[in-house]
Amino acid sequence: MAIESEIIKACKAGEEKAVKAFYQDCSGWMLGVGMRYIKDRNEAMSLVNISVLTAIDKIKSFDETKPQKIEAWLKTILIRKIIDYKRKNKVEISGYEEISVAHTSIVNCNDESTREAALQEMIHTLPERSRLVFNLYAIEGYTHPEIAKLLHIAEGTAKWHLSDARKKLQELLAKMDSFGLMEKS
Amino acid sequence: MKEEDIDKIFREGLQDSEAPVFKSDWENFSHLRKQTGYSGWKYFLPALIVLVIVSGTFYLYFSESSENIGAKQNVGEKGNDEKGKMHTEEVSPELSETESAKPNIHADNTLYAEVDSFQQTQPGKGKDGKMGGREQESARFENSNFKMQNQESNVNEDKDNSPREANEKNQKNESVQVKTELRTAENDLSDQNPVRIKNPEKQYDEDRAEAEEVHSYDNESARSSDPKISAKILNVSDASIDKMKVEKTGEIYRTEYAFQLENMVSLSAGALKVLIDKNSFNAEKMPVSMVRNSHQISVYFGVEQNNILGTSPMAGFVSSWHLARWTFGVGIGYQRSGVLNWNQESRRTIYGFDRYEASATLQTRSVNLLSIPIKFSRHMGGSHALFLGVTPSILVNASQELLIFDDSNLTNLVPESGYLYKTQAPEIVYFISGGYTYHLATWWSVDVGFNYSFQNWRPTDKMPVGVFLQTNIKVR
Repeated sequence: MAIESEIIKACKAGEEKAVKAFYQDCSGWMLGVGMRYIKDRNEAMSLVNISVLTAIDKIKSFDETKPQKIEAWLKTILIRKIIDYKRKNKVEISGYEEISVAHTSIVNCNDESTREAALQEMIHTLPERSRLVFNLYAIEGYTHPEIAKLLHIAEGTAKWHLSDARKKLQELLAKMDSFGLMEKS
Repeated sequence: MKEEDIDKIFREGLQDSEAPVFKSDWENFSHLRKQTGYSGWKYFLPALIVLVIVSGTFYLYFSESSENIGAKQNVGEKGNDEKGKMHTEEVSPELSETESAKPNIHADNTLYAEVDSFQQTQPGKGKDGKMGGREQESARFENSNFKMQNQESNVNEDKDNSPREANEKNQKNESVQVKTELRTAENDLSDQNPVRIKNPEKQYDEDRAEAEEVHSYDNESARSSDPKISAKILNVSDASIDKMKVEKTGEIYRTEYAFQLENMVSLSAGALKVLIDKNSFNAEKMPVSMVRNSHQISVYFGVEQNNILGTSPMAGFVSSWHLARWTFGVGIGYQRSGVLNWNQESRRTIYGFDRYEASATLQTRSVNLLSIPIKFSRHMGGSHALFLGVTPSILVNASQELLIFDDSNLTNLVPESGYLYKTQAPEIVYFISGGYTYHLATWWSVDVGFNYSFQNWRPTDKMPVGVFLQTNIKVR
């Protein structure tokens, strides 16, 4: 995902077309990130929209000469919104769902998009807190102290959730491997 | 498989994943942007409501001020015209001429009945074995009545009396009539005020000793020299013996309004600032969704600026039920008025064989109300809501003081709070309220609104109008 510095500059000036271009450039990628945390597309899209609004509101503070940083900036905004949303709505920390649900859907995932969907579905089988920690650590690259601060939990708890998530995903991947679906990785 | 391998599989597989975005998503975004933008009625409406409330209060303030000044000028002019008379009548046109003044006169009769009943309960002798001033007067009064009754029984036999005797008879008849009226008024007062002085003799001795130390109102000139008392005393002409009226002292009233205005301006400015700050677009604080439980209990704290009750704090609980965009709330609370300085002045001159004068002042400093707020709210989207309701407020208590002056004594009959003359104000006041609610968080909201009542309050001869600022905190 890349957004040109010209678009950022025009957004700062409040140009409507630039806002639309900004939205088109970043929304798809942000929705991809959001759906790693929230299974429901509509919910994830609402949070993407709110995050883009926040970004446009605060874009004057962003340095347009460093457009490469916008990805990290937008991701930070979105992740914070997602965590706030989950906290406010007190999303139930669900138990470990049946692996068979993910298993049946990842069978025959022979193209890239289906493979992505399969991996995403595997992540969604994880308990809520473990999913958050795994996403933040393994995919976004946050450290344990950062995760602990974001989620208001102890660092040790974050490590435990990560370990738990890995263990469960490993089981799923092992099953996929047995079906010969892990060749590409 | 190593732990790092698992991380790598998911990182490489999902890091750059994108999801398709549709035209409807952009439309939703545009709609959301318009809703939360700077422009639009949602930003201006709260400011407009506050502006209307502030303007209305200013209008009320200035109209009240001009009335008071006008009343004082009228009193002054009339006083000059009648200069030189032994007894003058200084009654403002509103009090003397309007229909609304009539209930006050009746109320004063009940007040004066209290004075008379107090005199009747006094012992015959003072501490030193001699008659005190009050006892002497009481005895003189009883004696004169006795004589008057004797003379009245012989009225047919004395048809040939001189004009001087005829005058005395007239005076005597008047006194008898006055006494009968006062007895009736006292009975009325007993019905309305079950709380009476428990130990009048002890109370009298204490109050008298205190009064002698503080003041010595031996004669009329001493009273007149005291600016506070002379400003309050309402002189009554010879023709209107025992008529008592209520007068709000113009100067005191204006000073109180100045304080009220100052408080009102600062409160309104604070409310406006809160609304403008919170209505500025701030997506960071924008709630993802309003939490609307079916039932919740809130505690509220607030302050009201009222043309009658002054700056009055209030607090209580409200239980609310939510249905879609509508909320119904009912609660219970307490409201205490500010400093009122309601002074009900009265004076009478008893004519007979022995003439004497007495005056009384009932001062109400504050009143306590038990409120039952009933409120309907309509959520307007986002953090905004409008409400309308009715608040019956029951007058439960008041801080009052009744001072009685006669020729030689100053007596405080009601030295403590808790004694309530219910003739001063309606027992239940129905306030109609309306206004705007802003939700700062799911558990915290601020109300800005107005209160209005159609009921007339006797001491001020006005209907209460007020603005209030209230904060509601969800407790369950």
